Formats: sequence, C-alpha cells, structure tokens
Amino acid sequence: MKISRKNAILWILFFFLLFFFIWTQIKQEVTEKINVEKTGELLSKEIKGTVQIEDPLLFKKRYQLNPGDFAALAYYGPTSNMGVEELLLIEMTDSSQKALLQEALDSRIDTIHNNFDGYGTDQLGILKKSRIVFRGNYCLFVIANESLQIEESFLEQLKSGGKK
Amino acid sequence: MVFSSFSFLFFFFPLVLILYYAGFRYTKNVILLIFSLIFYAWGEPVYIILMLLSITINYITGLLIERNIASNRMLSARSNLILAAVWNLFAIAFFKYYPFLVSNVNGIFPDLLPDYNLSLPIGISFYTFQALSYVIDVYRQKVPAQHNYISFALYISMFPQLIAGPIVRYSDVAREIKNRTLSLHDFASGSERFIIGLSKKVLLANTFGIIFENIQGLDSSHQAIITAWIGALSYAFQIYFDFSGYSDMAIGIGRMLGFHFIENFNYPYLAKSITDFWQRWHISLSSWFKEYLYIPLGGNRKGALIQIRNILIVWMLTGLWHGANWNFIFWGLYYGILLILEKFVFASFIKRFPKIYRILTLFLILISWMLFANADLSALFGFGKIAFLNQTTWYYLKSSILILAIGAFACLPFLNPYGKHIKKKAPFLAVTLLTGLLLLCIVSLISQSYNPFLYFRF
Repeated sequence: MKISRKNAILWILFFFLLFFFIWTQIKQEVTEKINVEKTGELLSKEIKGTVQIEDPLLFKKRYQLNPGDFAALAYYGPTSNMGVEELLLIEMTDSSQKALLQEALDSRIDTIHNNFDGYGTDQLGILKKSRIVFRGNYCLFVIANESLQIEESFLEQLKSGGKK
Repeated sequence: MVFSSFSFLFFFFPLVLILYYAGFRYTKNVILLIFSLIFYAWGEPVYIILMLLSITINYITGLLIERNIASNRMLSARSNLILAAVWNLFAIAFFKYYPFLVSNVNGIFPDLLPDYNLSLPIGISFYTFQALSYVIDVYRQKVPAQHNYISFALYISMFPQLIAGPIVRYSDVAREIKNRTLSLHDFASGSERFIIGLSKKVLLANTFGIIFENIQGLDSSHQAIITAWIGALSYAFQIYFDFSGYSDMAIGIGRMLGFHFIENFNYPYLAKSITDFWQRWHISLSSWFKEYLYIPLGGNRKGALIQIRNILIVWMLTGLWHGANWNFIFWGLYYGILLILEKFVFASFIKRFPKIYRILTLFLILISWMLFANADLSALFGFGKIAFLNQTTWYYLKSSILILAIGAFACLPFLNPYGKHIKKKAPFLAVTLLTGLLLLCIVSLISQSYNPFLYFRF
C-alpha cells in the first residue's frame, strides 16, 4: 500500500465518516430482538381490558396490508363496536416497508376519525393520543388513553430484548 | 417509493416529467438528481446520508485514481482503489451482513456480539455495485473519471434503477448523462415498456404471489405433491414477472427521460441450459460478477481446478448478494455446482439431447426457486407420506389453471411479432390496448393491498 500523507489523511476521514454514521445509527436504534406476540400481549394488558387479539384477516381488511409481508405481527382491536382502542406491533423485513406502513397507519387514523367525527367525542379524544413509533425493524401503533406509557414500555422491551 | 403505487403514478412521476421537460438542458440533470434523492428518502430519510457519503467518496476516489495514473503513480492508484473497495464493502457488509454474522456467532457463543437490529438501507446492494464498477473502470482506464459531482451523483442515484437495478455500468450511461437526446419515439416506446412492466407486476406477479402464499400456508393434511408443484410454478412466475416487470419499468422510465439502460432479462424460462439461463436472467448482475470477479480471479484460463474454485466463489457470493441467509448461500452454491456439472460432466449429453436437457433445466430452476424462497422441499418430492393429489389440489388446479396458462404464455416471445404488427398497421389499436392495460392495472391497484417488489429486499 503506497499513498501520500495527504491521501492517507483523506482516507482516515472517509472511514471516520462511515464509522461515525454507523455509530449514530447504533446509538439511535439500539434494539434487542423481541418476540412480537409476547410483547404485543404484554403491552395490550396496559390498555385496561378494552382490546382483544384479532385475526390477521381483520388486520388486512382494516389496514390494506398483507400480514404475510411482515416478519411478525400482533394486532389487538377494540372489544366493542364503539371502541376505538387498537394496538399493532409489527416486525418489518426491511426498511422499504416503513413508508407504506406509515401511509397505512395514517390512513387508518383518518378512517377512525371519519367514523366518529361529529358524535364520538370520547373516541376522538383517545384517537388524538395515538402514537406511531418506529425503532429498528419494529413498529408500534397504539390508540389508547395510555399510549405514552405503552410507548415507554415498548422501548424498554426493545432495550432489554423482552426480558423486563 | 414503489413504481406501482398511486403516489408514484399520479404525483411523483408526472411532476418529474413536467419539470424535466420544461427545464433547460443544463437543469435536467439537477432536476433528476433532486427527484432521485426525494425518491430514495421517501422510505427511510436517514439512509440518504449513507448514499451521499458513498457518492462523495467514490467521486473523490475516481479523481484521485485518475490523477495518480496521469502522473504515473500506479501503486498509489491501486492503493486508492483497494481503499475504496474496502470502504464500499465494509458499508454493505455492516448493514446487510452483520445481523447474519451475529445470529450465527451468537448461536454458538451466546451474546458474544451485540445485535443492533438496524434496518437494511434499501438498494444498497445495487448502488454499491454501481459505485464499485465505476472506480474499477477508472482504474482500468476504461472510462475517464467524472469531474462533475452532479453528473456522478446522478449516475449512482438515478431513481429508475436505484432500488432494484438493472446494475448500470458507468461506461454505459456516461455519454447520456452528459448529453442525451429526447425524442417522441423514445418517450412513446418508454411509456409502452413502463405499462408492460406495470402489468407484469400488478396483474401477474401479485396474482401468482397470492397463489404461492396460500399454498405455502396449507397445513400438512392439505398438502399434496401436485399442490406443491403448483406452488413452485406460481413462485417461478411471481419472481420472474415481479423482477422483470420492475426492470421493464426502470428501462421504460429511463427511455422516457432519454437514457437507454441495458436489458436485464431475455426470456429466461426458454433457456437451453443453466449456463444459458444465467445469460438471460438478471443479466446486469451476472455480467457484473463475471467482469469484476470471475475474470480477475483467473476465469477459465488457469486450468480446470482453478476454474471450479472460481465458479464456486462467484456463485456463493452471488447467493450472498441476494440476502444474508443460509438459504441464499445454498441457492448460489446449487447453481455453482450445476454450472460445474454442465461444463465438465453433462456437456456431451446437452449436445446429444438438447430437448430433454431443456426440460431438465426448467425442473432444476423450479427447485432452485424453492431454495430461494426458503420453502419446504420435501412436499415437492413426496417425503413424509403425502398424497400425490387430493381435494385441495383439484381446487388449486381449477382456480389457477387459467392464470398459470397466461403466465406460461407471457413468459414466451410469441406475442412480440403480433405487437410489432399491430403497432405498425394499427397504431391507434395499440394505444387503445396499452391504455386498457394501464386502466386495468389502476383498478387492480385499488383493490390490492401493499405488494412490494421481491428484489427490494436485496
């Protein structure tokens, strides 16, 4: 290997930039692998008794997404017709699914909003508290009064790899 | 962003076309570059930083290598090339292969390596290979280094082929990046190609995808040998129409913008042998590996043993390029072994019985797709005492026979002469047919759920 000193400094900078970028990503996205079904169940218990696990077909109908396209998925929906609470935990196969997932979640919020607009004041209040969180290959979507608390639990689960 | 999405079809692409055609000659590259970056950032904005880093570093490396060669410092030029290769390969290795390494190492030594669970930067395999081919070609003095940063950034990030190829070599597009002519003929043929690609994806690939997914989801009591083969056939059609559809769309969009990208498919299921298949399937990838790996390793010039070694290395890496998983490595090695057998064992058989070997080739390709999809191979061969056919088989035969026949027909070049004849004799009819296809795709897209391209994950 033979390069000038200037050239060597340039390459040190190039590699430093790459490692720095990787470091920022690692720092931001430190997540352990979690079991989506178990974590989903755990998080759903924080929504006090108003959700139940739903069939993937219902997920497909409501979100216009194929459950089979994702690595893993847990979907909880409201127990009554007038309920608005939902919890969706998804493990994506790669980053390309993020944009479409975001679009589908936004459209789901719009649909629920239109369903209750004009009369469901309580439901719209809960909907306003909804949270969408992307971390690594995981996505959490939750509509509940306890959304913030559930988001925190979700991040804890990711850090501990579902051990907490 | 996906070509077969409403946001692309009705917002992004029309806007690109309006601004591109309305812009001055010297602004066209800037417009294309800005929209290419938006296209990439749509899914995962943060990874645009990595791509811009890759663009900048490979751009500077090209200039350094050129300067070194001009002043006859070949060792320095070589060192810069090696460092650029290490930089590019490290980036792809970390984001694409680190999780695979972690799962394997931690499987043996628990918690030895930390698992960061980072998402894969989309298109990294494609744009890294383009960047590598550029620096290597500059080093080999096949092309001069690009001095204009915008032109180089456009080469790496051009949105039609950014995410799933074809892997365009710099030498193939350098002239058109600098100076290209826009013609009505190119625009018309590009639109036609785009609609055909969109139809392949939306009408065929997605339909075959549903059949394959349903068959894969059957429990063992409903499995039968013939059902498994219908599933294998469906996947073979799905992956072909999905990927060649994307390539058609990329080539079509390129042509509408004045670029002429290389062809990526040439009726692969008509292949006479596995060697022939790989001259027809993902042509840009196989020719990349041939030129930048197989030939530098010695190719077939250093005796049979070295050639066998080279084939196995190239095909293992081809498999690994497709994904960080053992099934892709086995899939690559499977093809490596088949190619070795074709060259050293079956050569005379292929010459004597070409028709039989053509059928055998199709059979071997079907098996390879099942390895690729990580599907259960045992059902295909009746292991585990499963029936030859059952009620479920009849259901799938009845419900899929028409689409399977259409798929088989669409894989072959029968329609080409008719298409040319219609375009020549009745252009109005040709336009009507294409408009009908486009409308059919839009209607199908409304009723379909999200269907990403299979090759996006590579």
